[in-house]
Amino acid sequence: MKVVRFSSMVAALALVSALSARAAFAQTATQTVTFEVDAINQIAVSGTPSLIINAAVAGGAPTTVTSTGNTWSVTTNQTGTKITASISSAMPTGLTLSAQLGAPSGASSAGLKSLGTTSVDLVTGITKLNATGLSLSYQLDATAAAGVVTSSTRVVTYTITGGV
Amino acid sequence: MRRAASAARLGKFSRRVVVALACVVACFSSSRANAQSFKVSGNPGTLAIQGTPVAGTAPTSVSDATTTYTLTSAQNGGKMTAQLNAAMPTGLTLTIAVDPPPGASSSGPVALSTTPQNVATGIVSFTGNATRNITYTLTATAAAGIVPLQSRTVTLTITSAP
Repeated sequence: MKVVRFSSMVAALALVSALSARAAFAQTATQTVTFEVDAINQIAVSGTPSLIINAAVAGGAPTTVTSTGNTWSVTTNQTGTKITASISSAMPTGLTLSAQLGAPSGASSAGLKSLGTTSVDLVTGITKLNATGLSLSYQLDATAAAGVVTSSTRVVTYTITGGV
Repeated sequence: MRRAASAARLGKFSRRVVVALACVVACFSSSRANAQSFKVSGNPGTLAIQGTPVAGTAPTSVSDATTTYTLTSAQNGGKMTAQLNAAMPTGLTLTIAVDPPPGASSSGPVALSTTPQNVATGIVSFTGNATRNITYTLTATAAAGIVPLQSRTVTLTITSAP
């Protein structure tokens, strides 16, 4: 009888072992994934503005002209960045070129600002966003004293800076 | 008396047969389990997001497909899962995509979390080695900000169907 009981126990244990081995089998492997995100600040503009002053109201200064429909885009993952602008060389005497950028959500536009060879702030307080199709307009003003100015161009440089 | 003795002998024989069969089944199952191995080739390179191709769009995702896993034999109905040891920073998503073992289906890019996610299912029984690619992809929103260098452990698990 003892032999019979022992044999039965062995059989039961073997079967349980076999079944559990099939039911619970799992194998693992691990990998370490290392990552980082660096500072990202990118700006782009689009449009081909052309400004021609060719009229005036008698008695008044030459009529100001504007160029709208231009856009700008920005991506930054920093806090408190700003957009500045400058031109490559000074405008002819009596002519003023100005620019205005629409602000993305949460930021502030400085409004229309005249451009010079020294950078001026156009938008401040840009924080961790990406936005496209933001408005960009130019304005050209002239005094009568500016006289006739032949076709000329200026490169406007926009810079995103100052984030933390 | 003779009949009783004969029945007892038959019973003892039957039990021995059962014991022997059970041992064979156990050994067979055990050997199958032991024969199956699962390992990875190493760690992927650092995933560093450093810019965006076009201003106005989200930061550029980066990927690494330099590592592989090797599975030696499998049973029908098994699956592969993956999970992280800790959550990713806000705004960052780490996904994994594996080329599936023979006969299995890949779940495609799967966002990893601290909960096991199926990355391949329906493994079909096979023998031999199957080495397949693992691809990790890191994506970030601008709102994620600057994220200093850090790491997560990804645990890949092959589970056999019961």
